[in-house]
Order: sequence, then C-alpha cells, then structure tokens
Amino acid sequence: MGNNAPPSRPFWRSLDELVGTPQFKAWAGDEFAPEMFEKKTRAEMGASRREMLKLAAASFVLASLASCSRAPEQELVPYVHTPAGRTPARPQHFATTLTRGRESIGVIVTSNEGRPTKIEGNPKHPASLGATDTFAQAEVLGLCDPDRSQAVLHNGQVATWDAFSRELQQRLSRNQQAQTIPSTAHLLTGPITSPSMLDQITRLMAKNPGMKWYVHDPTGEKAAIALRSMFKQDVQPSFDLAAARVIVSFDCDLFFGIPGSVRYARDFANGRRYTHGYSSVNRLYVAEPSPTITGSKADHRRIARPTELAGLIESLAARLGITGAVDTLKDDAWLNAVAKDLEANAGHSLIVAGTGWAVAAHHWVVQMNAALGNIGKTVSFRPSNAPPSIDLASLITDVNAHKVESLIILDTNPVYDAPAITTALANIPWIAHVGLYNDETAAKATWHVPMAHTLESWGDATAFDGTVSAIQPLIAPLYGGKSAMEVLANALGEPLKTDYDLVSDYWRRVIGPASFDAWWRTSLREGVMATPAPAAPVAFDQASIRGLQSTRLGQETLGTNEQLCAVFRPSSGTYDGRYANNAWLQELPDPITKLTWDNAAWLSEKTARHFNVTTGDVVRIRIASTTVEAPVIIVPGQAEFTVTLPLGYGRTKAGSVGSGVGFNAYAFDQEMAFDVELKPAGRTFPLAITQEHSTMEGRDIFRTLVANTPHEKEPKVVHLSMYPDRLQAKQQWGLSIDLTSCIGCNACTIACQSENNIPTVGKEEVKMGREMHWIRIDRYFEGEPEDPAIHHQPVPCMHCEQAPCEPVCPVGATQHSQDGLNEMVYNRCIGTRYCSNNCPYKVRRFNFFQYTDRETESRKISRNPQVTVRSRGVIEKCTYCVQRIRNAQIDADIDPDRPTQSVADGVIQTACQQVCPTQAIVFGDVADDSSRVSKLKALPHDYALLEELNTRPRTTYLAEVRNPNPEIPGPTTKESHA
Amino acid sequence: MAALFTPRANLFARLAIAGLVGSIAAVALATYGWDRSSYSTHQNLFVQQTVPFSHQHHVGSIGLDCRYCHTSVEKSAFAGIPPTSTCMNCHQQIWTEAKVLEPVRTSWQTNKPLIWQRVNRLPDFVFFNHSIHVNKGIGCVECHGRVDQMPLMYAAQPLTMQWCLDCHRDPAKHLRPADQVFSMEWQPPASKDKRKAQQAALMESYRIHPIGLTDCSTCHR
Repeated sequence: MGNNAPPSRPFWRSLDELVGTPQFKAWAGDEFAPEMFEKKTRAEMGASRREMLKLAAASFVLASLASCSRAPEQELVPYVHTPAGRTPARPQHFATTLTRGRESIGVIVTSNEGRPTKIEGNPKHPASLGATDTFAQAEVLGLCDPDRSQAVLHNGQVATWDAFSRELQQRLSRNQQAQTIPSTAHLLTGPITSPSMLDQITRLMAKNPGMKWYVHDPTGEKAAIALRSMFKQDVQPSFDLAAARVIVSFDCDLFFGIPGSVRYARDFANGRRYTHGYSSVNRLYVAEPSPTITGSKADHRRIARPTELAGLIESLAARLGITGAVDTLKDDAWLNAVAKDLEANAGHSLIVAGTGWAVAAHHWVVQMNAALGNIGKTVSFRPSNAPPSIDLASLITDVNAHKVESLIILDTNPVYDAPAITTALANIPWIAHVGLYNDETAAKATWHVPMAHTLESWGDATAFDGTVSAIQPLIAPLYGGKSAMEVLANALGEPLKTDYDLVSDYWRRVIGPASFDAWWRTSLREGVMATPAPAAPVAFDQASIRGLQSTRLGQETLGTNEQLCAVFRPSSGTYDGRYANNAWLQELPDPITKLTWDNAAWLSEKTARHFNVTTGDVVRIRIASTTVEAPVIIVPGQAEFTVTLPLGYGRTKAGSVGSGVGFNAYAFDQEMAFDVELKPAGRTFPLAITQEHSTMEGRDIFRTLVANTPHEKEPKVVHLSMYPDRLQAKQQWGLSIDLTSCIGCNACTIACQSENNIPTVGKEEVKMGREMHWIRIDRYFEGEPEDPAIHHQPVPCMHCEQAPCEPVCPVGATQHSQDGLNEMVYNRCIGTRYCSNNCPYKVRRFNFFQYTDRETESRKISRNPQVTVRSRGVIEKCTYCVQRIRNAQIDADIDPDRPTQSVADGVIQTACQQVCPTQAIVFGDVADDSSRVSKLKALPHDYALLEELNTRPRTTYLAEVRNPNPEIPGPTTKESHA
Repeated sequence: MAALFTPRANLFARLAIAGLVGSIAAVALATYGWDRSSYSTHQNLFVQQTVPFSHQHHVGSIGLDCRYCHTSVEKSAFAGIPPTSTCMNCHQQIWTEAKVLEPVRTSWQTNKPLIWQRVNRLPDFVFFNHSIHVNKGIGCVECHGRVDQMPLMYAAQPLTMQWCLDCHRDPAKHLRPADQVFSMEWQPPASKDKRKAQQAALMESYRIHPIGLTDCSTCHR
C-alpha cells in the first residue's frame, strides 16, 4: 500500500503535529537546523561555513600525516595467580538478584575480567523468565557511579567503620544492660523481602524487646494496609495473567513498577500472541485517570477521574453481587459489557486496583475476585512471614512521646520522600544512616555508612510469587561499602560476620548442615533457591470482611467532579527517586510523554486551556498548604481536571546528575489530593521531549488489526533494483518486532545502551534531537485528542538490503556484510553525516560532542569490552549486536565437540530481544525457513516501515492486534492503518 | 613598456610548478613509504622487557609448547600472557637465584603482577580473535614468526590492515594441518602441485569460505 490513499484514521505524535502549527512545520522540516546550534540565525552562520571549509582543507592535509601511525605503546599486565574459572577475554556469568522494594528479579550478570558489564534476566527465575525492567538494566551504571558515598561520616566528618561499629554496639548494649523496657533503639527500613535479613531483624527485635521496625514504602502502602486488614496478617498478592482471559485494571499499572510486572507483561503478551492464530485472545479493560503503559495496551481504556473510578469500582461490585455495594452507574454500557465479560469468565478473570488507591477500593476488589472464583487461580495471597512492622507515620508519634533515642535507617530516604518526618528526625539524638549515597537523609544523620551496592553484596530476596533467590556479588565493594546485613550483624553484637557468613549461616540452619553445600552451590548456579515447601497461599475468608468498616469511597475523600484533583505516580525515570543520579534512566524518555530529564505536571488539553497554559508553562500548584512550581505538559488521554504529579524528582542531594532536576512532588501531602489549586506562574521552563524529533509525516508507519477478523496479507510488491543481489553468506540475519506484544517499557533502549556503550548527552542536547539511543520507542496516538489510543513502536536500524546510507558515505565507513548486516566502521567515519541525512528512518546517531565520558575512572569498569567506545565526530547506530553474532559464530565454529558454521536458531539474542519482558523482538536467520523469525515474517500481518521506498529492511513489524469487545461502541472496532 | 618578466622567468615558473608538483608527490610517497616501513610498524624491532624472557631458550632449546604459557589461544580472543605462577612452576626449582629472574620472584612474593611491554599490537578498533585463527589452521609462526629463534621478542610481521587482508582475501596460502599449528619447523610440501593440493584440501576440511572474511564487521565493531 503506497501513500496514495488518504489515511483512514490519522496517527499523530503530538498535538502540534495534529494541528500542524507553523512552528511545528518549520521544526520538522529542518533536521539539522542551525537554530539548534548555538542559537544563531542562518545569516549569522553564513560566515562560519566558509571558515569551516578553510579549516577542513587544512585539517585534511594534516590528518593524512597523523592518521596512519602506530597505536600508542601498551602494557600487558597478567595475573600473579589466575582466578579459578577465568579465561582471558571470555566473560563469565553469575546469577544474582536485583531488588527494588518488594520487587525482586533474578538476573544473570556478565562479568568481564571481574567487572560486571551487562545484566540479563535469569530465564529460570519466575519474575524474569530471561527479561528485566529498565531499573535492573541501569544498576550497572549505578554500581560505578562516582557520586556514590565513599566514606563513613560522623557528623559530616570522615570517620572509620570501626568507630561506627563500636558506637553502634555500645548504644544497643547500653539499652539492653539497662533493662530499658521497651527499647529506645529502633529500626527504619524500606520493604524487605530477604529471608536472612528478616531473620536478623527478628533476632534483633528479640534481643531488644520493644524495638520497633518501621517500614517505609514511598509507593504502595495503602494496598498493604488494606490487605492486612482483610487477611489479619501481612500478605503479598501475586497475579497469574496467563490464567486470565479477562483482566480489569482500575488504575493499576500492571506492567510497570509493581512486584512481578515483568512477568505479568510476559503472561499478558503470551495471551495474545500469534502462535495460536489469535483464536483465543485475552482482553484487557483499564480505567484510569492518567495514561500508563498498561492503559496503552488496553482493548478498552476508560478515562476516569478518581471520583468516577471510585464509582466504577463500587458499581461493578454491586453488579457482581457484593453485599453493601451500591450501583450508581446503572446505564453505563462500558460497565455492562465488563461485568458480562467477567461473569462469562469467572475463575479466569482478574480485577486489580492500583497500590495508591484507598483501602476501601481494595476491599471491593478482593471481594469481587472472590465472588468470581478468581482467588487461588488468577490471584493469590502469600503470607509474608515477616516480623511485625509499623508504618512511618507512627514514628512521628513515637518521637513526640520520647520513645526513640536511637534510630538505624537502612537504605531508605524518608527526608526526601516523606518530608513530614524531618522535624521528628531532628528530635532523635542518634541516627545511623546506611545508604548508597550521602543523600538528604544522610545529611540529617549522626552517622552515615556507605552501603555496598547489590552487585557488591551477598544476600537473598523473595520474588512476587514467593520464589527465593540468592544475591551474590560480582565485584568487591568499590568504595568500602558495607551491606545492610553487616550493619545489622554489628547491631546484634556479631561484628566479625561478613555478609557471606550471615547468608550462608542462615540457610545452613534452614536447609540442614548435611545437604547444605550441594544445595548452596546449586542455588548460586541456578539463581533460584529450592526452598523447603513454601507456606500455602492464604485463603480468603468472606467472614473476615464482615467486621470491617466498609468505608465508602466517598466524595469527601476524592473531591467533586468539577474540582481539580491530583494523582501521584512513581516516575519511569527515577521510580521513587532512588535512581535520580542515574543518567541512563534520566535520559530514557517517559513512555507516554516522551519527556526526559525532568518531570512535569500532566494536564489534559482542555484543562490546560481552561487554566490558559500550555506545555512548558510553569504553574503554581497548591495542595492543602503546600505550593510547588512545576512545568506543565499536555498529555492526550489525561482525565479532565486531573493533574498527574510524577514522584521522584526535585532531589537536592542525589549527586551531580540528579540534584536539582525536576520538581519535588513529595512535598505535597498525598492524602489531600482533592484540595488542589493551579495558577500560571508567568514563566516558562524548557522541557526536553523526544517525541517530535524525526516525525514521519502521515506515512504508513503503524498498523493495527482486530483479532479474529479475516485479514489478507497485502501482496508483497518487489520493486526492481539496479543493485546486484550480492549476499552470499549461508545465514542471513533479520529481526521481527511484534507490535501486539510491545508495551513501550523502554527496556530495549536501556539494554542496548548498556550493551553497546552508548553515552548520554544531557538535557540541552536532547532538546536538539541528539539523544544517542540506537533503538527508540516511537509513541503514536490514534483518534481523538481527548481519548486517543496509544501505540508503541520500537525502531532500531532496519539493516536495509538496499540501504540508502551506504552509497553516500564518502569514505566507505558504512558497508553491507555478506550476512545482511549494515555495518558501521567507526575508525573510517569522518563525520559528514551524509548517511544520517539519507536514512529515511533516522536511526543513525551522531556524536556531536565528546559525549562519552573518558575521564571518570569508575565508569570505565562497566563498559562492554566487545564494543568500541566511540569518540566525538563519528556516526553510530544499531548493529544487530554484531559482537554477539560474531562471537556466537566463532564459538560454534571452534566448538570442540560439534563445530558448525551455522549457528542454531535462538543462540544469538540481541540485547533488545533478550531483555524484552514480552519477547516482542525476535532475531534470527531469515534464510532458514524453520527459524522463529522466518515464521514471524511469513505471517500475513508482517509489514516493513516505508516499504514503498524499496529499502527492503531486514527489520519488519507484526501489526498490532487488539481484541475489542463488540458490545462496547467505539472506534476501536475497526481495522486501521495510517 | 618593457616586459616585466624576462624570458628566464618562464624557466623559473616551470621549475616552480614542477617543484611544487614534485614536492607534493614526494610528501605523498614519503607518507606512503613511511607508513609501510618498520619505523611505523615496528617490525623486527626488539622490545626491551623487565625480564629478558627468551623464547629461543624456552621454546627452541627446552621445547615448551606455545600453549603452556599462552593458555587461552584456542578458546578465546586473547592468547593469554602467563601469570607469574606459570613462571614459578619451574623457577621455584631451577635458576632460583638468578639475577635476571629477580622481578619474577618479587612479583610472586609481593603479589604484584609483572609488567610486559606489548610487542604484537593492533589498534583498539580492531577486534582480533586468536581462537578462530588457530582453529582454522593458521600457525603461530605465520604471524609471530620463528619465536624459537628469538632471544628477545620482536614483531615478525607488520600487522597492518593490508597485511591482514592479504591473507583474508586468499587464506589458502597460509593454512597448515591442524596438528602442525603449534609447530615451529613445519614447512609446506616443496613441490608446487602437492602444495596446491594440500591447500585446497585444507580449505575444504576447515570449511573456510573467503566470502565474508572481508566484511568490515569481521574485525571492526
């Protein structure tokens, strides 16, 4: 299909593009506009072009002399004793676990000469299945962050670990000896899932009777409280999306940020994959006030303000027969269809509500799941077996009652994300803070101890479904950090125990000394512990509900429909703020807004017009008695009069990358989210948004289909070409991307950055369109600006068979290999950028400046030695992970048992493929009809981008398939492409 | 009015043009020649080391196999420089007092590695893999020369891209049977026919397809 037919439903990337403002047209037309460089006009630039030519002529002559000299002298430094199992230049792989609050993902880390360089998911770990999220990928950068805390501090002065250890033990033993009951020393941590650390805490609390354990989770406390009230104990929910045919989410971002989200994305994508010809496809309904990636995959997304959402939950509960629920939306077609669909799939359905929602919402949701028979099938509740903990708010009460003399804070930052605590902390005589950074909380502590990074520690963690896995270090602590367990050991009076001793001693006790050694070795190798029979899931007893006050989700807590209300969310960039100093994450565009390096207040277009603001205008937001200034960003699909405030920015002591970036939404009291006022502040703030870069101007880019409707494959028109067919290698490489599976999470982008040593460029350069990501996710809206569908399309290099970039390079720096790769040779590139100019997909990135950090020593350890580190002035682009291809080919060829010159299908996985939670990307041999990628490309809905240009890309897409409910009227019932 | 330039000026003008052209050509030729000379490639230049390790003694006289020290040459991109413990395998027992071995003993005792000056070097943007070469019948001697005759190490070949391409374009001439890869003395058959036959047979048995060997991404990633 050419671009002759007018688009049936226009796809658009931004409101400016939709409307076609004159500024947008000018911007889009001029990719390398000189306005971007040093803000000069064309007239001013005129003279400098001549200068440039003069310099070019001179430098050409000089370059010829300098270019061909021998490489500088190098030293070879062998070992004194080679460490066991290490072959030079061959990476080793170690299984460990990465945690983030209650999330734990089993990973396998690639270690080059003892340096961890890349994180992959552990296929044997149920929370990973081989994939990870963006935060796990970024840990490699966090490990070598030079801003990490490097010294023990006592009142801001450098001190020693021994001094701290002595004082800690003294403080606690004084407590015990004086028989002070209850203890005035307490513990404050984030959520902990580590069995060995929980055991330590139990023992610590036993040794110090009356010691309280405060647990602070900046996101997600309400759900925990609700579940505790219903089940009378701490339980962890886990969902089985593979068993669910119908999923209804009330503002729960299943595919981002909650424990198990990587697995949930995989199970969801498996429920709508091509393998069964889409004959039995799951269905996702999402009702949310603000767009999320889960909402973007919904077959029916309903925009609902928090008040409306509350009404939806309760009305649905009433329809499903839950006593006490009142149906206030009797004629709602959407709700009718949803209820019918749920009842038709009782036992195979799932209803979830977001973790930030009021306790009452979770009560209704659990009861609905129980009524549908889903408990034990698609949702189960696991007892968490943790010692009793208290939430942070009680700490303030206890401090005021003078019950807290000493506080040990482990790996949490309440001064930043729960600022109400700050005055209370000032009244505690002795605070010890253990953390990765000398952050906001460390500044208020008596002692600060640098914490060992997860990649430097021993430990263990429990995943969303109860699977326990070990944490093993990849490298000795770079900065003399101590793990939280070592600090607790000191508190327990066991100062000489290393974290290895602590973890292995605990498991030796649990498993029994006889079989421990073999079990321990297996656990470390597999990355999953075979623990003694886990506790049975907790059954839900309807009777337990009866005693509860079924608080209605009343208007008084959620505001009225006419009044502005606020929604707080963890951000895609920093989560709850802990990753603020991670440049990879800061520069990763938010999946919905495509905003980098900042957070902004999300408003719908109508609401923004009402307040007379637009994207980039700064507004003053008042919630209760706190006012914060924030820039606005207009988000299509946002509910009216609802402002979303992403959490995790506005930090003051995050490090050189993260401090001062964005505004701090934690300053607000989230309980008062209905008392919101917004006023323009009269100034603007520049926002670095990537969405408008490289627009594609109405061409046939994205295609969607409806499941189970007949679709004919469009006949492939092969245009004649004057270039000879020249590729003679037996295996030809290609890639297939399934748009049905892609959730837009950006894991591929950051995995590629980690694998290929891609630099970050900073906010100013991103504003000029110079972000260096080799694979980007383009986000398209479809339909009406108030309620659009949202689509994600990953765009790597297409590796065109007739690549337009190849013939135009004056020095031959980009060639075509015999196995179909479009190669990039950095040492030949002289930076004319003609190739990037000619690329219709705009996937070639240029190093305009020395973006790669060559100075910072610690950064050098995490670079992948298999990939060149590029300097200023060269073009780079996706290579289909050619280092992985070549290494796999060599390994297959030199295999002592079965040398072969054809690498088996599935052995080579590109970095983007390997990390993708939904397995949307498949790489393989397109010359082999039996390979997975060939089978995908043979499907009728496979298509290439800009086919009419005859570039013959090796990267093709499978059109997105949705499964709308025919009983719900709306535009999603038609097939469409732009 | 009298002519500004005498007829002699023509001669000077021509000489100047010829001289300019000639000097540009000379600079170009000099650059060309310099790049290929051992000034640039350091071919055949002995390199001083902390410990004057003699391959001639260890390989030639004693008969150590290359792989005794360069252990990962068949498995990995990097052939491997032996750790101090390999040296001490023997030198704990023999030549235990020798002055030349003092740095080795010091390294062993203080647990600080020995520092060697690299002789055979490629630029950082070249990703060379030893294992594929060794497994496909390229003898050590092909690239590193007769180390069993080197009292001190030097680069036997220029290691320029041109030199690598000479083989990559036509590998047959440089192949040897798999059991002779680590042999110092092996010579191909004297008769031309036998040699050609053997080379063809080796290309077959090693399954070497020159197409693809000259792809840029084979060495540059």
